[in-house]
Amino acid sequence: MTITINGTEFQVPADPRVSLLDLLREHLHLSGTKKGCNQGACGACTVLVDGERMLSCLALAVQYDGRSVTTVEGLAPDGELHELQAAFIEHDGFQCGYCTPGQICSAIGMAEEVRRRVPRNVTADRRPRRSRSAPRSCGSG
Amino acid sequence: MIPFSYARAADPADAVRRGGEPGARYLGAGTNLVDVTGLSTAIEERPDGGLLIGAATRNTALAEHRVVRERYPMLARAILAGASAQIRNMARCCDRAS
Repeated sequence: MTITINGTEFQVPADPRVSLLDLLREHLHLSGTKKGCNQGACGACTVLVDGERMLSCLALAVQYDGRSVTTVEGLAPDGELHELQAAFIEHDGFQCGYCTPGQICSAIGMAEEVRRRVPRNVTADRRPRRSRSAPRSCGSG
Repeated sequence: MIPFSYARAADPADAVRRGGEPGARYLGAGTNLVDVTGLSTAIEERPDGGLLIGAATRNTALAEHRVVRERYPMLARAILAGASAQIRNMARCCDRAS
């Protein structure tokens, strides 16, 4: 069983208990994706699976056999920046930066949802669609 | 950590058989054991005007389905009111609400 990560195929770990997040960080040393809460609440572990945003801490790696995962490391070719990464830098869009990879992957997933016209609830105060990783320090914009 | 084995159900009968094994649990998006995400994700219109929704249908797919949005808008809004986009992209109808 293999998972494609940033364009390269890797073996799914034999132990089914390995989360997708631990596969990325501990097995493949792709430490861009962060373990903030490890229980699906913070969004810092957000990656793109076949272009859709998902929480890697809640995913068993073995469930993603045959799927294609993009992490923050894979958003742009080596040495280059995805335009959203460049925008975060230009507009000072982070403080410590720990949740930023998750924010960026989530926002890219959100942009795809907008493109696909996935509906959202509009709240009474018409708050914009959120990217769901919004710690107090960086604010929700 | 407690070791466990993982299996993906090939069809509903397989899911029921495997789920009957001692200690087995069903897995939709994310906890453990018999993975039922390979079951039906179809949303089919019935002759009587209803909808048949596959147990493995993802929340996002259900909420964005044209017929659901047109005829069952409360269902779509209820789904969208829950969790986060990431979780809705992963969670299946058969997942137990926590």
